[in-house]
Amino acid sequence: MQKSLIEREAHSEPHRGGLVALYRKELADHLDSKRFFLILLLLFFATTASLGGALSNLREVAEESTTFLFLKMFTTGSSTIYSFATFLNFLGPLAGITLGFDAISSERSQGTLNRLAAQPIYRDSIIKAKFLAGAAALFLIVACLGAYVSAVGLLMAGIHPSLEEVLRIIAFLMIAWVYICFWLALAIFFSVICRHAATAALACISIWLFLSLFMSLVAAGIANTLFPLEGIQGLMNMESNYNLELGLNRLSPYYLFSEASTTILNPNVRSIGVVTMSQTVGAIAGPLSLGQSLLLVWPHLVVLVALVIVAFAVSYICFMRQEIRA
Amino acid sequence: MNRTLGTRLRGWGRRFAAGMLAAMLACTLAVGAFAAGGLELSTDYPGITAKAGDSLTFDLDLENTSGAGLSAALSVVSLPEGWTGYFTGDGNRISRVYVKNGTNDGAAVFNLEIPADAQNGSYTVALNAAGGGASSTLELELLLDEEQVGGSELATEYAQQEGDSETTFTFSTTLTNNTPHEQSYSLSANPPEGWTVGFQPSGESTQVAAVTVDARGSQGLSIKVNPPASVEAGEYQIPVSAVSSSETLQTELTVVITGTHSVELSTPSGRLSFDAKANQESAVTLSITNTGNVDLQNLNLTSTPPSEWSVTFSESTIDLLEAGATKEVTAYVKPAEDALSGDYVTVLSISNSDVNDQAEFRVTVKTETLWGVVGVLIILVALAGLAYVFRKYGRR
Repeated sequence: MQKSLIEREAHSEPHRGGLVALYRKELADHLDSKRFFLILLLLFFATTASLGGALSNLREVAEESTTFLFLKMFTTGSSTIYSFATFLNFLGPLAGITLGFDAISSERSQGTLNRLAAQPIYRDSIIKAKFLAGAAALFLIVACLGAYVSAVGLLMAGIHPSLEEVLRIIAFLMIAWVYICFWLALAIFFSVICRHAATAALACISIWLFLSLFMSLVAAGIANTLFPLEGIQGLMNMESNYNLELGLNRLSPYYLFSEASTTILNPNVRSIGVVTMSQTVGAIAGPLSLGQSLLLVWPHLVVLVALVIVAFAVSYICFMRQEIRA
Repeated sequence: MNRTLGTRLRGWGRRFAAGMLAAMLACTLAVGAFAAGGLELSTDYPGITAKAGDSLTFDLDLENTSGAGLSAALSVVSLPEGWTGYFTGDGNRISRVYVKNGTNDGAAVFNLEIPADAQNGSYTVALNAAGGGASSTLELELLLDEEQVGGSELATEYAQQEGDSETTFTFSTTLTNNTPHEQSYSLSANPPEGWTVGFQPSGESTQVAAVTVDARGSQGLSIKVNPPASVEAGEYQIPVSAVSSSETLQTELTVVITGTHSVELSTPSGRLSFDAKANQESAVTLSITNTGNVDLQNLNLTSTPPSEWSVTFSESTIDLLEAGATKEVTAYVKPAEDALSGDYVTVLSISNSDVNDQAEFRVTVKTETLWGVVGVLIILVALAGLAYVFRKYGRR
């Protein structure tokens, strides 16, 4: 932190409580840092790998259906490589954690926090600016990756997106941004309550790994314990078992985002829950409009946005109640 | 024409040869007034009616009573101006004929050609046979009368035809000009309202309003008759006439329209798709048209919707739908409570004992936007909570 600059800018705009100055400074720090560069590089390589898989498989996909081919760039992988949407689902949180896990704790350990608080700026501007700057940096990452995939789709595959596809891609990227912002807010929360940055990072990463990898196993285990699938009773339990497993999985933002992105990027998805036989009678294959797809996963989107707000609000309260000692 | 007449004359001659002997003798005496010596020239029917342009043949009989055969010279004594006449025997033109003793039936044939422009009236042709000092003259009386032989006509092969309202009826008609002049006939028909009648020369596809027919010629015509789509079943008369400067020829065509039963189920706009919301009734206006030409009775509306959907009609039975009439009925479609978003097919059909039609509707089930509003409200509450937190803890 180059405090002299912050101080000067904070003095020049006292009426904003220094929020704008701090935000600019934090964002500049992020864009300048090796950490930002490394996580961008990681995501860039992952995206390139998924694009390779998508391009090699696009011909087969196009033989099945040529509608919404451009969206297939985002959802097609190969047998060994995940699709872009899956990579973003899994690695996106890492970007959020990377940008947030030491937001407060590093200031504190370097002893700059109390000096910052001594400036004529509102104290809440500090945490607001940290979150907003992180969110802005994440927006840049998501937008760059989305533009990268779209550009490769245009150049290498030579397919043109329709307006509907463009809108769907924008919606998908916005949802991905909100999803990653949740992890940023979570990481800031841990950086507030943990004295050491390493503890915060470990806490975030363990939650991330648990929700991404083990939540489905836990959900299946609980569902199978409560509604065993063995024997005749198992047939009766099948629906309850599935519904419970689905409900538990949906506790995880990872699963929420994966359902939302599948629905938004594939207009042919008509339901995200259990589909009974009677529901399919008379149904004919046809894409949903973007509005209908959004309504289908609207609860998911509401929960994701609410999670971001709640996570940030909690970290805000914790930060404001903390004593900042010299 | 001349062949048939000749054959006819010969046929009658043979048939009545024996029975008519006495009459023939009397006739011969009357006609062969100038018979002299032992030679007599005669024919069965020395007086006949013909018309201008005809070619006639007369079988000539020669009776030789001189007791010995003789060679007789044949000549035409008098012939009206412009007419031609000559003698033939066994297909050759002849000028003399050998007459054996006794009766020689059909010893020679006299060919007479009447010019086409000959006026009506009575004409006399005198023939002479002379030989062996004997001579005989035969006078033929010809009455030219156009009307009696038959004038121009418009004749149809099958003047009564049957079919449904979709049929194009084709009548093969022959227009015969029996006048000695080329004539131009203008063709017209007087069909009932809504019908169309077209005239085409046989073998051509051009529609014509007039045809020119050569003197004593004929022209084949195809008359195509199209009934209107909404025509009612029944019998229809179509007078057709061909009018030239001097003649008016008429014929009447009869078309029997059979009844067709047909009904069509659609919507007033023709659009067969609509939006609906799960567990909510959507109203669709259906238009039911009787496209046949017979009134339809007791039409029933039915539906085959996806399972657990309900379809009701404002009027599920139509007692009477007149030919050509359209009736609007409202269908209320209510998708199942758990219907998926997106497209479903619902088939609505209409039928009675004679007809049926069905329409496949594409129903797009849409999610209630109310839940979207609820979601937005939840987010607003969360933001309000955040604002409260900012106010409570901020600005320290």
